[in-house]
Amino acid sequence: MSQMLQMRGVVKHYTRGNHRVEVLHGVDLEARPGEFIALMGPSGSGKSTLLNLIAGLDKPDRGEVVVAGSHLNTLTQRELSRWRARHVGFVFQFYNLLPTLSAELNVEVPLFLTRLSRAQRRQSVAASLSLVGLTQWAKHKPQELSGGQQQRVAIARAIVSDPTILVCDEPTGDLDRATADEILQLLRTISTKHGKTIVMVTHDPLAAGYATRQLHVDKGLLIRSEERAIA
Amino acid sequence: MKSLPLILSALRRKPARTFLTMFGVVIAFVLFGLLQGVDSAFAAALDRMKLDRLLVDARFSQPLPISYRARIQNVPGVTRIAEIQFLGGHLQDEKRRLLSIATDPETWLSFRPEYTVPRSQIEAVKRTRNGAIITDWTAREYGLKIGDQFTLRTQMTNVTGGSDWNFVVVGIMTYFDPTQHLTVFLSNYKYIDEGRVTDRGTANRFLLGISDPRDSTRVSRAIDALFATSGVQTRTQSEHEMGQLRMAAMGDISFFTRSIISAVFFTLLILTANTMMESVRERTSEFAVLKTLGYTDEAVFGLVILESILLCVTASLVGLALAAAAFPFASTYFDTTGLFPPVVIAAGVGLATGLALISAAIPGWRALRLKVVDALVAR
Repeated sequence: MSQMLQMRGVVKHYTRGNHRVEVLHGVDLEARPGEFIALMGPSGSGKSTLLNLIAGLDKPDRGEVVVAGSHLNTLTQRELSRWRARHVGFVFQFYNLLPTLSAELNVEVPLFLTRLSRAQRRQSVAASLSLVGLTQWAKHKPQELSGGQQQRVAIARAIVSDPTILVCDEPTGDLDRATADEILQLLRTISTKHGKTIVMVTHDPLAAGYATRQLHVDKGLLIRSEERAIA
Repeated sequence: MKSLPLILSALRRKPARTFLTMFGVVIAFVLFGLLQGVDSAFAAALDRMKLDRLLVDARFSQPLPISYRARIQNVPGVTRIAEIQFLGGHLQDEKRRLLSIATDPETWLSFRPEYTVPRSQIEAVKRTRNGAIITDWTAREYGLKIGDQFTLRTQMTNVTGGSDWNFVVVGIMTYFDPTQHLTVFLSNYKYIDEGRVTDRGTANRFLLGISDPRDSTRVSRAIDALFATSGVQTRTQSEHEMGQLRMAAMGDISFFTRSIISAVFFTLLILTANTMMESVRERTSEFAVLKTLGYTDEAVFGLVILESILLCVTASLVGLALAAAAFPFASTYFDTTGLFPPVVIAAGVGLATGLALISAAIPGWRALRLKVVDALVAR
């Protein structure tokens, strides 16, 4: 597979009240396997909409979105759900962990959708928690963890089902600088060592610095692309 | 079920609310279990009162001449008959009454399959003039065993000039429901009739069997017509009809119980529906996250429904278990069997499931229709 992600002429509208607002005006984008892309841009520029389309949470009004070989435009809602379960890992700004579940159960949630046995699920969960350095915190509930630890749990949850693409929406937006750097370093490791394609929305230029490519979005268009080597 | 941790996690989210809702459901099902249990026990008792068992009583509280027996037996459709003379009294304690059913014990027992007596003991009572077959409860209660003698103190004078009647235990009959305190025993009609000084050659009642239960009305009318011009007129009815009349006298139990249960469950429905609505509303973002992770709309709907079923059915089982435990005590007030009818448990679980489905329908539908993008933006 030469391209992990291909977007061609993607247009997306939203209706707000009586107004129809065009958020994306024909976006073209490609990403290779293992690439770490930072989507940057001001609020309302369309980067979150772009992220939702890449993640199969929404469909374009025009144009084509192909991720991991699947033409997302052609999939039904149910097929999209199943596709997401198989191919996409999500990391949110506010972690979005289930508060009454322990860290390990939170990580296990995506695996409930698979045919894995309990033992296999536990093995995958342990491996993911180990990767994010939280093995000792497996039994803890989210409120017993710091923000950085919660985001690590969220990352473990995102990678536990071995997705082909990781989608991160401001993953460090709620963290202090030092913790944010740890999280970004972790994401970069997942990209370089495990070959995962990562698309991350961020406002933070320092966070974007961890990516291999920075894409700048403004007024619904990709206006600039900067490629950089990993330090 | 893999997603059970998710459902349990939802219920643990607000433990106080979950506990209070479950408590409400438990109380409602205790009430349901007791009322419906009494209602079902009445129905079961009525069922045991067969249409093919007819009771012939005097129309106006007079003793029935024993000569009626032969005439009744000749009525077409009558297959067997037993005369019955009641003799009430006590053993040691005046407040604890025992009732002797003086009859032909073998025929009487053939009408009452709910009692089990070994064949040898039936033969023994036929051989023993003052023999008695007591219930297992009476045997336990008074410490009596086969071969023991006991004296029933009564108001009926006998040929000795006193009113004490001596019996010897020759058999012990077992009733199908061990919780029942059955204070009756069987004795020989001849022993009582020949021993008494008044009303000899009479009986309180005739118990008879007919060949076809559908014939009960015709046979009853034929018997009553036989004695319509006699000094002692009869009133014949099936045991089933008599049971219905007795229950009608106690009021319409079914209507009463159903009215209360309907009111309770309507209130409960509002309570559980409100709980589910609140619970789902609070977790909008969690449902959005689940959908983001790949849960389909239907899977999320299923989680809400299962959560509601788990809440309602678990609490209903606790309520029904408490009702079953309390039922033997409650049933003594209503003169019904002390056995909790299994049909009530099945009906209760069915009702709880229905309650859960109705309560979760709207919140579940909302969770199903939730658009991930909108929900994540709203957060």
